[in-house]
Amino acid sequence: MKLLRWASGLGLLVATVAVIVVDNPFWLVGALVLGFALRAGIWRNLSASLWSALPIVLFAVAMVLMQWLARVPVTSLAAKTLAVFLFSTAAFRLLPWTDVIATTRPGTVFHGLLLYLLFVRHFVNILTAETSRILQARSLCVVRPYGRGAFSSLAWGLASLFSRSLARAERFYAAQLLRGFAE
Amino acid sequence: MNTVLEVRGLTFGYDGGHPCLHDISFSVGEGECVGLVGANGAGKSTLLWCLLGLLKAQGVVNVFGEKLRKRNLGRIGVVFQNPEDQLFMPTLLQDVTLPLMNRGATAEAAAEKAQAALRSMGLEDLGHRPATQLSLGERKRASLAAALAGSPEILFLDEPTAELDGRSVRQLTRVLADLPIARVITSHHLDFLRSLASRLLVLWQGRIVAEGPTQQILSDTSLLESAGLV
Repeated sequence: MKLLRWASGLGLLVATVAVIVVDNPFWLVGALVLGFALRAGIWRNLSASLWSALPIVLFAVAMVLMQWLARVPVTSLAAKTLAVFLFSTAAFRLLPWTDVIATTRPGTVFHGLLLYLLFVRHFVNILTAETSRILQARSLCVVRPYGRGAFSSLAWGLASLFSRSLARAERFYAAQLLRGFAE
Repeated sequence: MNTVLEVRGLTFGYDGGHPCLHDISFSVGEGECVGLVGANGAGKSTLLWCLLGLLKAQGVVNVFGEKLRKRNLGRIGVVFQNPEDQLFMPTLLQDVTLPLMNRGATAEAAAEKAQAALRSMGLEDLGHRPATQLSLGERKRASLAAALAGSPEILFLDEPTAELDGRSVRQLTRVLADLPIARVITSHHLDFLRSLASRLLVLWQGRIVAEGPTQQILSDTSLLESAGLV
C-alpha cells in the first residue's frame, strides 16, 4: 500500500512538472478534468473537495479577466496554475512523507526539508482552526448575510486572524526553539 | 542545596516601553518546586518567557550558573500552556523522539526513552496516534512526556492546569509530585500549587510582593486578596 502511495505520489509530481511545459489545450483540459477527479477521489467528498479549491479557481479566473481587460492574448497560464495546484496538492496528500522523517538523519538537507514541510502543515492547520473560530464567532453575531455590520465584521475578523495567527506562530516557534530544533 | 536558577534585578517592558516586570529577584534550588502565582495579567507568562530567554530583559538570569545558551537548552524542559504549540508530528511517539534524535540520540535510544516517558504519563497505548486526536488532558501529559524524555534538570511549566478537569489535574499533580528535578510552575490554581510547591512567589502588577513557604503564603488571606488571587 505504501509502495503504491509512493508510486502514485511521485507520478503526480512528474505530472505537475509536465503540465507546466505542455501547451496543447486538449491536454490541459484533460489534465484539469483528471486533477478535479483525483481531488474528489482522494478527499472522498465531492462538494468539500471542490469548495476548498474555490480560492485558486477564483485566482485563475481573475488572471484570465485581467488579461482580457488589458487586451493582451489570454494565455494558458491560468489553466496551468490550476492544474499545478490540483496535482501538487494530490501528491502532497498521497506521499507518505510524514513517515519518512523518523528515518532521515537530523542535520541533513532532506530532514530539514521534511521538517519544514511539517511546520508548514502545522501552521496551515493553525490558520484553518483560527479562521473557522472567527467565522463561527461572527455567525453568532451577524445573522443576516447582508445586514448591518456584515462586511465590517468580516473585515475585522480577517484582520484579527493575522494577529491571532502571528501570536500562535510566535509561540510555536518559541516552543520548537526550546525543543532544540534550531541547534 | 545547589542553585539551578538564579534571577537578579530582572526588568522588562514590551517594545522598551513602560516596564511590566520590575526588579524581579529569586533563586531555585536543585529538586525544589517553586510556584509563581499571580492574577491574570500579573506577568507570570512574561516572566517565564524572560527566564527562557525568549524575551530579552534587563538583569541577570543564570541557569546552572551561566546564561541560558543553545548548548544548555538540553538541560531544561518546558511545557507551554497550549500543547499544540509543542506537538506537531504525525504521531505522539515521533513528537517525543524527534527532539532526542535532533540532539544526537540514535533512533533506538530515542524510541526507548520516548516509550518510557509516555509510559510514565500513562500514554503508552496512544503513541501511534496524532496529538490532535487526544483529549486536552492527554495532550498536556504528552507535552510533559516530550519535555521529560530529554531528562531535563529543571522543568518550566506555564499554566499546566489551564482548562483541565479535576481528574486531569489530579493525574498531573501525581506525575509532577514524583519528579526529583527542579520545577518552576506558573499558575493561579492555588490548590494545585498547595500540593506541589514548597515555596511560592506572589506576582502582582509585575512585582514580587511576597515570597515564602506555600502554607504560609496560602494562609495569608489578605495577601491573596490584594494580589487578586481570591
